[in-house]
Amino acid sequence: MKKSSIYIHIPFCEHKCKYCSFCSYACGLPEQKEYIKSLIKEVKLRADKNICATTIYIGGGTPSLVDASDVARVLDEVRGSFSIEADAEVTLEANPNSLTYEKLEIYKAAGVNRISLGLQSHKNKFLQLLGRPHDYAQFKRAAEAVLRCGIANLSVDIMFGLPGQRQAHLKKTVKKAVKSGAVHISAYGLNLEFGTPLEAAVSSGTLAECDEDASNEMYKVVNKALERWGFARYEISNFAKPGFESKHNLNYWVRGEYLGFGVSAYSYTGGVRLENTHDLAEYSNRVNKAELPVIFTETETPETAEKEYIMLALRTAKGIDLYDYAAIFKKDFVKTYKPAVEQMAGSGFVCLSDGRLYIDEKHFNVSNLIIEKFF
Amino acid sequence: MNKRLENIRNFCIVAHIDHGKSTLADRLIEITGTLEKRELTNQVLDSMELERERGITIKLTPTRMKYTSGGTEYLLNLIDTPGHVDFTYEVSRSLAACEGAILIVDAGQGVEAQTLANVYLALENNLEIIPVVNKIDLPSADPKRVKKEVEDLIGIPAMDAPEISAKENINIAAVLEAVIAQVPPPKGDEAAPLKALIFDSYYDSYKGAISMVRIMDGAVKPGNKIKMMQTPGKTFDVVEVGYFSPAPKPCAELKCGEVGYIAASVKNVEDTKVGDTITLADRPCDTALPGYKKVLPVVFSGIFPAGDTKYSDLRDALDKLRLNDSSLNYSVESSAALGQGFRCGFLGLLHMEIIVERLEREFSLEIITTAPGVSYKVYTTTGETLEVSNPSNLPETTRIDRMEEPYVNMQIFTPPEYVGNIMDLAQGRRGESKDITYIDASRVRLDYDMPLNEIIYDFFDSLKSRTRGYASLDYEISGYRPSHLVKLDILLKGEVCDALSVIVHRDRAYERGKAMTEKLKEVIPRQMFEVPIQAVIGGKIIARETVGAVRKDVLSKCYGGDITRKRKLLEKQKEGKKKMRQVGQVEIPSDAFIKVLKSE
Repeated sequence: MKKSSIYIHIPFCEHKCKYCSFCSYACGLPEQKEYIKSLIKEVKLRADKNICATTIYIGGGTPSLVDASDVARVLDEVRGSFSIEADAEVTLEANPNSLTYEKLEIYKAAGVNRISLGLQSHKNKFLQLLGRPHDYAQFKRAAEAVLRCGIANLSVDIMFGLPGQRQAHLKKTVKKAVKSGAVHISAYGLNLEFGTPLEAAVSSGTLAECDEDASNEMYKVVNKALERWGFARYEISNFAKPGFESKHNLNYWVRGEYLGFGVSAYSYTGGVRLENTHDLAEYSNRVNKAELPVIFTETETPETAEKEYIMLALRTAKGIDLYDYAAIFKKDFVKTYKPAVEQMAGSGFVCLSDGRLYIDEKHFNVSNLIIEKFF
Repeated sequence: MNKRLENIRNFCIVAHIDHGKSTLADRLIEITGTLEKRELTNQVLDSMELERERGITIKLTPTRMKYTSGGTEYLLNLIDTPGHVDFTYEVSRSLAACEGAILIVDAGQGVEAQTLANVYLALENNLEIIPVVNKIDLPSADPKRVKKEVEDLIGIPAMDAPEISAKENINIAAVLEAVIAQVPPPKGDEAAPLKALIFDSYYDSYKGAISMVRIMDGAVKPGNKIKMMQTPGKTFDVVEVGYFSPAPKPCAELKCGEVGYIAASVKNVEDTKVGDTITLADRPCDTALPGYKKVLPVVFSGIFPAGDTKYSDLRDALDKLRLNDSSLNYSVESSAALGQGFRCGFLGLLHMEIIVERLEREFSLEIITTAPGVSYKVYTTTGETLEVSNPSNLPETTRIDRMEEPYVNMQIFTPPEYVGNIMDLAQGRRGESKDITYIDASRVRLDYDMPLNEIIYDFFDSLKSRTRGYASLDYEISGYRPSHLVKLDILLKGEVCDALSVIVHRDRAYERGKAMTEKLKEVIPRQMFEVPIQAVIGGKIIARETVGAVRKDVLSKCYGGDITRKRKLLEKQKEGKKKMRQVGQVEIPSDAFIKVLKSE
């Protein structure tokens, strides 16, 4: 039996947030219903009982926006089409304003045991700036509902590096996230993606960007504060109390296999990476014709496999397991990358100990520059 | 005298840049019907893209034209020549193939310094000078004054000089009539053994190295076995001879007095040395022609491959360029920062710019050039005398007894209102004023003793900007003088970047060091760590700047497992870094060197 993660994409939002460049649509109910039908068809198309799902992640968009019963139907279909591990981690992403206790009960009955809730900031002024469809009060109510319904594995997303954000604001956001009962926190720096309203506002000069140095300081603030609350950083942007690391995320970092369903979902299976269409109509058309909605396929080569291994492993706190590397690629990492290892270890950017090579936690802020040395 | 020779005229055109040399050449080609009107592009003879763009002539190009005057058909050979000071060598080459020179003088601007230099060169070669006053269509034209100037400055009669406008096609025939009347026909003995001067050569991928020649004695035709008098032992079979009109046209035979080309399947460019004499292998002439004085380079710079360009590509390109520019010389140089490249010697800064641009355009190479420098005389404590043109080769300070640097006689011609600006500039560059002459109400001549080192850095650009482009500059090497010179090194994160080392005068070192560190701070991107930039003389830091470390370069999200895109982003980033130069741990974009070495 082949182990795999499963990702399901729900591309709907009330409206797009002002910083978001991901695949999401503000659509009415008929389109949502149509999409769920297509999604179920895709799951059926790719059904394989020899695949055992270790984690399932329903992301978006805003999965909590669509009918909870539709989400349950999709999950039922997944259960019918694949084998599911008994203690599989099943996560659903939710926005505070669309997550209700009633919906939670339906999710829970369908097997959801982890909720990822988007807070971003406790200050409504920043929520408005980001174009988030909720306020802090709604977040509080939603988090309470999650715990009340018996789902203890709560993850909260927060953001730093926002225009006008100060360290004091951020510390408070971290505290409020922790106090909400979260056992897992994802902290993302704001990236101004081209084509988003926020990026346009900054480029036109109507909004002042948070500068690099300040943003980096905030990243450190988050790290420090969470450490005090008993969280450990296990990956660049992810922090967890012991035992609550996201298995779904970790599967990406260890190059585990995953199947992605829905528009703009990605799969990695049998050494092949697949990308689904980003277009709703094309997606429906193709699955209706019993075709896979794939628009891009890349077969791994030894070279890309190695690069991805290094890139993904170095994102994690544990870094590269040198024995594991040697077993997979039949060569010694330190010898292969001697000049880069010497330079990086010599200047303290990476550490070498216990048979592992990992980025020093002070230098996660320049992880790209470090990873690139081994490319 | 031989009737055929009597109807031949070989001449060139001497003129200051911009005075209309190439335009007149076009008109002559047109009026003689050498090319059909539809075949004429502007400035036909400036065939290099670079020449057309800059409006200057770099290479010499001969053209054979037919013209009938007084019922007699004449064969006219025009050899176009470069006008800039750096190309005096090329000019001298074409002069040796001619009996006369048209001197074009701008009807508004009169005689320029540069024109004089070339006129003297022509007179030295016993050429007949035919003055022509051009641009008479301009409102500012004053042909009478200009003619008087020619008579006063050069001492040749000019009152009957044709007044023309090459641009407006006015009075062009008068130029040809003057050439026929005044330029003496070539001399030579058709029955004597072949004696041909190579005045230029170029490489043709099908025919091999082709010599451009002036036949002094005898004749040559396909089937002849020839030899070069400076290359003993080798003989070549002539495959083709011909002339230029202006494209190469094969003919049956080239006879004495004529200008044309010889193709003899010469594989090695080195075997067709400019200035050499070609003769017949089985019936050689007694003595070789005097050839040309070897010119010595005065400006030196390192040229290194960058980007995707390989060392071998650069070497091949330089080899090809040297084929028709024997004044270019180079030797292998290796730099810790820039890798394997060449130390090149040039006749001047323009010559250097032209070579660099030709390497980039004609050969599509990516290159880095180091700061231009001159050749210094270094007297060591052990009594040796060294010629040092590469700062890296300068001995330790303790081994140097004294140093000397080359000086030039510099003349600047300018309208009077800029005299103050120019004096400021020249004094700031260690120039010593020798003379100021008010030539007339609109022109002043300033004479300076000046270190060459100061001219090659950015003097010309500064002069142009301080005089709105009105001043012109000419210089010639006058000799070496003792000087307080120091080696200025640039340290990046504690390591010397040899490509940025320069030799400067002690009094100018601080200013130069400060300018370089400031510029480097601008052009070196932030790195993973802080990069201190220091300007150092013999261990003493005279200027310092710091490039801060990168604070953030992280892909925070790994959305939905889109690993491929992330990997590609990093691959792209890495690809960008590969184009950078590594000095110690510091990564420097290739163009940073160029930006730093260029003046502000």
